[in-house]
Amino acid sequence: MYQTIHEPIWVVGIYKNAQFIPKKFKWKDQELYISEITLSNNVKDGAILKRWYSVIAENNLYRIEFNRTSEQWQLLEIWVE
Amino acid sequence: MEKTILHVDINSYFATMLQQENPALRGVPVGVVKDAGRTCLIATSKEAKLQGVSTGFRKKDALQICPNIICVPASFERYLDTTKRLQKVFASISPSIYIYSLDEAFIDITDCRKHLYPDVHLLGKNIQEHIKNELGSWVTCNVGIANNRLMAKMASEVAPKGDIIEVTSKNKEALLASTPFKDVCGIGYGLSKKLALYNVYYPYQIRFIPEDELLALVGPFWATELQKIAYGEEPHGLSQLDREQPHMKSVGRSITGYRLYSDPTEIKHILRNLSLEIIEKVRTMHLAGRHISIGLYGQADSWSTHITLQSPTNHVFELLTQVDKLYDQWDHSFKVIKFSVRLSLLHPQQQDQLLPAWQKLESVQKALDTINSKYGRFTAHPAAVPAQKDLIHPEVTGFLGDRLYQLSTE
Repeated sequence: MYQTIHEPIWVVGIYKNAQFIPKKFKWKDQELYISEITLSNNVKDGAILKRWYSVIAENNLYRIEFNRTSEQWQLLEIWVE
Repeated sequence: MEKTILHVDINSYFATMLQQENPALRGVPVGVVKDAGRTCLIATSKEAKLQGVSTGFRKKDALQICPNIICVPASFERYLDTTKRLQKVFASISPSIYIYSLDEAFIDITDCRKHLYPDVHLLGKNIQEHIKNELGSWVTCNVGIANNRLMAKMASEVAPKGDIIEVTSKNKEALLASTPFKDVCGIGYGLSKKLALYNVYYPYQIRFIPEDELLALVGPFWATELQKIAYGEEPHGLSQLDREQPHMKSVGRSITGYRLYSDPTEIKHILRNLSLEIIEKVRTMHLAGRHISIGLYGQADSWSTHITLQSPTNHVFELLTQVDKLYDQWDHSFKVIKFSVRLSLLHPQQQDQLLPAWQKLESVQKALDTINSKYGRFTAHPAAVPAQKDLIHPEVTGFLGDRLYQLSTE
């Protein structure tokens, strides 16, 4: 099941073909390296644009969000077996 | 010139996208529920279908048949974004596309087949590859190719997962004689049940029902439609897709609750909450409507009523007032599980009214629109609606009945 987290995270990534690709993120003092982005989506909340990434880091699936208006990152959910 | 239509259907869309997102779900039976705590499966993965669990199953029944099924809440915003990406893929193939639902589309390549796509089977394969590149390697789709939408859709419905079927004069009759009604576009459960009384289970068999008997059984409209389907011709419903719809005629919203409701305050709150979403949609599309209806559904009972206003509205306060008035007509004779609100007779809002009362409502509404577009949907809303944390938020339906709103408002 997905466990709701909704906590701020700090993300490092690269730009490739005019697209940001997250490579690692820091959450609760741990650095997690992203090995795969399995899905990414643009979503809208009113005029606020958000980008959702589902990423695999350390063999776990994380749903992270980039708020394109406030330019802040958030860890939304983690998959727990 | 004979038409060439492709029907592309993503296999088990909701479940497949969840599996694409989460490798832990790949290859295992997955049931999709609308939300955490919901018990009805709105979609299932191909692995679950193989074990006999399909859409509409209750979670506890699914677990009995398939104890290792994993039930995951749907993510409608992701599906909608994915559909928009699919729309771009299809639009790169032909300018003539129709997104039929969240996970399926018709692509008309009649005008470009000769020069661009002489080998339609190869085109089908390219579409499948393109979709994998765009959405992920786990995502597969069926492609049906025919000279009309009915046969193209029928072909993709019966094709094995990830396959391509082209309907030709050689296999058309066989397809009509072997495709059960559940896979035929336009024939619903009730109609197929009626036809089953005559031991008619496949479109081809309709050809042998005497005309007067068919007329007596299903009436004049369906008798004509069924005759068309029996010969693989496009029925009215599908041929209407060519007709351009300038704007939505109505916007409605319904929701099934988690339990039965009897408290009038709770019921009113839900109806008002659904009204918020309707107003947001009609205002985004610059429409206003005159006909308001509400419906309440219990386990065995239902009740609905409506009102037609003298002038169109797209103001939340006016809609809430009217919805409350309509609700007050109800006799509270049953507990409610499903709620619906609809605003119809929609027309483009062409000019502002001069009445001071209207202008006051409009200025308040504009302020709400500005706040909500800047800080997020329903950030500011009338106090008569529940608190933010308890709000029901919009969702996309698989049928994509509001495609004009969802696919054209960017």
